[in-house]
Amino acid sequence: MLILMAKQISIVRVLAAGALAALTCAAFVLHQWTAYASYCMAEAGTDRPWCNNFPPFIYPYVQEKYWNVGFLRYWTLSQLPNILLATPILALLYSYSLSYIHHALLPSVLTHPILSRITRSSKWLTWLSKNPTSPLMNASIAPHALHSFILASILLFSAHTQIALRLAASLPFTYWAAARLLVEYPRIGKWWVGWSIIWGSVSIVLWAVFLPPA
Amino acid sequence: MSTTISHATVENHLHILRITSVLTWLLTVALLYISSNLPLFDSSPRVILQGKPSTWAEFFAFPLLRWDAFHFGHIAKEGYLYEYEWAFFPGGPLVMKAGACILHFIRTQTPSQDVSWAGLFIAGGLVSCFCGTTTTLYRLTLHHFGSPSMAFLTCLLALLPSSPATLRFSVCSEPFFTYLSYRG
Repeated sequence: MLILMAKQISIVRVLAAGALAALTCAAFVLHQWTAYASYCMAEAGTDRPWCNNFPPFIYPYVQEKYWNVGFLRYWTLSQLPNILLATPILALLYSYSLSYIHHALLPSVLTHPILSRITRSSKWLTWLSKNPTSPLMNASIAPHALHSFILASILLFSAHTQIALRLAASLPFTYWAAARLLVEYPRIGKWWVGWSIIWGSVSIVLWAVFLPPA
Repeated sequence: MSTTISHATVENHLHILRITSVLTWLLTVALLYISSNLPLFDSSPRVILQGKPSTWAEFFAFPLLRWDAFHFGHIAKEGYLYEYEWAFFPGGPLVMKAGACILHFIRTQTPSQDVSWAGLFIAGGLVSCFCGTTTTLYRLTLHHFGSPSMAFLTCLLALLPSSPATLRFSVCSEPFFTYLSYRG
């Protein structure tokens, strides 16, 4: 996000960011390569259908075959309670990330020197570029906001939605969103704290007796 | 970004957060172990841990063996035997196996790769507990927002997660993901 904050985009910074991102992805690629070497390069008889895919990754195949993961596949009536259980935390993530994208990220992108001429020529883009300043909308958390928005969408539309309760609890963005609720919308914020305490306790008991959602 | 953040305020906040973090951990542990005495909906943990827990190790490991922990434990013990196990990345099982080997060495003074199910879960649970997530989150929030009050509020809220069992104890990826995502 230093790229957006700076007035000039430095090639060195772009390359450095790309290298760091590639490092993170390298672990995933290594894992996929190990699977490929085990199944697709071994002796005949271990060949699997995903060996011929492009790219030959085991991960999407396994997720689809054994966990039935896919766009809207989880949206069945029997899974409705699991989806409903995850709605508070998904709503929290969406509310802050969408608000951030609308009030902070889009204005900062649209008013960047590279795009400002295009923005000024369109009434709609000019409206989008207005940004009411708030300490909770600073530029450095933009990656967190984007990541949370994309993750929430993947969880809602493609994954087993109830795992949002596990994954979102690991994100700092979730707790920034909750803090924002308490500060800007205190009544809803108090409901959030109450829900967290009650649901946290209930979820421990459900985990211990091996019931969903876990 | 404020340039006059009081060092004393930050230290005071961190002190309170460390205490409340331990307290919430104790409450979570207590509730977890008490609830595990209730009848299980799915009795598969008893298949792996051989009926009623007979040793201290099995007693502590028993409530941790739920859901994806089965898969992580099996991968830690046997490696990637079945195709579906490739959906789980190797970091968690590696930590479990390493931790279990260390625990085994401490107990028996003999190095061994042959670890028990109970050892794997206790090792994984212990490592999960000691990820220093609360102070890391405080410093991260302070870095982004420049406000000790915001950092303090965020961390207090983070002590009320939506899934305490998986976040703090279970050998699923979450504790490590949390710590690493807080470190950026």
